[in-house]
Amino acid sequence: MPAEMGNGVGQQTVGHQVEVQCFGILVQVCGASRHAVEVTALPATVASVLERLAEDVPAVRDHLAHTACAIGDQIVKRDALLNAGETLVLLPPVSGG
Amino acid sequence: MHEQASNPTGPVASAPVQDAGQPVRLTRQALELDPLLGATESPECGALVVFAGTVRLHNDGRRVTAINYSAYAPLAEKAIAEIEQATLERFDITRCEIRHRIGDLAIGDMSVVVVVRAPHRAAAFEAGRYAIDTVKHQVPIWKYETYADGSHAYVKGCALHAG
Repeated sequence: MPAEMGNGVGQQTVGHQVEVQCFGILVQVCGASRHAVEVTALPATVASVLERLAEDVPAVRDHLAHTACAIGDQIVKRDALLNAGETLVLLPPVSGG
Repeated sequence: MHEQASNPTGPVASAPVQDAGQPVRLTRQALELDPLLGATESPECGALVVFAGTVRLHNDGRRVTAINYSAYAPLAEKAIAEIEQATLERFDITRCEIRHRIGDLAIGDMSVVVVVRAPHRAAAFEAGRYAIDTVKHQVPIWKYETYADGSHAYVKGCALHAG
């Protein structure tokens, strides 16, 4: 957790931007691989960042049920918290091999 | 992907794996079998199974001219390492090494290689199948196909376990 977050939870930071990184089909849906999403408080839950993204890009909503989320090298649940400086990574269905 | 499996029994040349540091499971370079075969040689093993996925000319009735593979590298590298370890724990095998290429690939290029060595062939075949199936389901990599008519599309895939 970045130093400026102090002890974090519940701390209000108005107008903070969170970076969302998209892969696969979501790059097409969102029109770019990276998006800045405005949130009113940090840390923010993954669910709240996804909701803000869906407000900006309504078409993304159809994909969210099949999309995993990651922070760093960890897949996280929707109630995980995103701290200042962290990027939310969206991983739609995979097709490697 | 076409599937290729072989079980060569002859000696293989010894060669270093990629570089002296950590193995690189995700690479933009062309995949090469010889270094992997050399690095995994073992006198305890009577079976070597190699699976290679190669870029196919057709997919879903459309003529493919090229594929771009993209990956979320921090997680993909880790996921492949975990699949190697899970395969080692699940089957009576000695080695499991997986490499996946990303970037722009042409028809016929190898996109993924799985090398399994085991004392006996049954476990080696089963482990190789398990490893490639798991790669297809659990590694954050995406195919973006280009078709003969100039159009493009991401290939439909398997959902990762979302939290």
